[in-house]
Amino acid sequence: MRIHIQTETGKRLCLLFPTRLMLNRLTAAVAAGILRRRREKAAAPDISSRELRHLFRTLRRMKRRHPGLPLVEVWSTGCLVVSIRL
Amino acid sequence: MEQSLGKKLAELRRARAMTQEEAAEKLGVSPQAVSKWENEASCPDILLLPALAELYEVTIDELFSRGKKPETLVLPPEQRKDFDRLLLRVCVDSARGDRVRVNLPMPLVKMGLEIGMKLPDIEGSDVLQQIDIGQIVELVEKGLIGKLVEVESEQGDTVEVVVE
Repeated sequence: MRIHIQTETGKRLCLLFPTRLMLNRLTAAVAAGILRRRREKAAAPDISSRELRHLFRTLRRMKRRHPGLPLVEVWSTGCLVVSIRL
Repeated sequence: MEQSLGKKLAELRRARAMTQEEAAEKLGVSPQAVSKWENEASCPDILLLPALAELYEVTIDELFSRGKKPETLVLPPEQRKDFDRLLLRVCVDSARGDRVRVNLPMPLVKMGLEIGMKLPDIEGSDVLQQIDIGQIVELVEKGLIGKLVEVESEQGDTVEVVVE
């Protein structure tokens, strides 16, 4: 997964994450725990660790099916600001 | 309405959120060549046509057909693409000049709906929150494809939802 961010001042940040590092059982459990705590304070989706693992499996399958797909791209005043690619 | 090859290539490339450089890299040609094709200054080499058709996921017949495809279609089961290969594209252009492009594989959209996730708030676009993604997924499963939603708000924001 690649995340590109560009600020208004022209500074660029490029983050590369191995997919397995981000989308695995451990991160699913951690993310589910964080969402559970956030739900007590503010509206957050009610997602269990199991559902997140299923979501991550689907994401990994989609990465194989659509390699390099830009999931999100945001432009501001003609300049690419944020880009997230599988 | 008749559509030239160059315009069709440009439209197909933009529909896949690809730049000319990316298309050129995948085809093994220079970005200038892609630009010339799209501006009708030249034509692609005949030997590149199968690669072009594969890249844009169309047939060579469709590349050369003169009529403009209807924007929205309901396909019979035997002509439908595999659900795994379908993409939901959301294009938001705000009146301030900001643009957002979201490309989500349909299985991911369906999975997100099943676990209760909603479309994220995009500042300045209330229109997006009024779109029923659940219904869109249902319609796509029944064969609907193409441009499904096209909305322009009072403020001048435009939202398009396309499935392809």
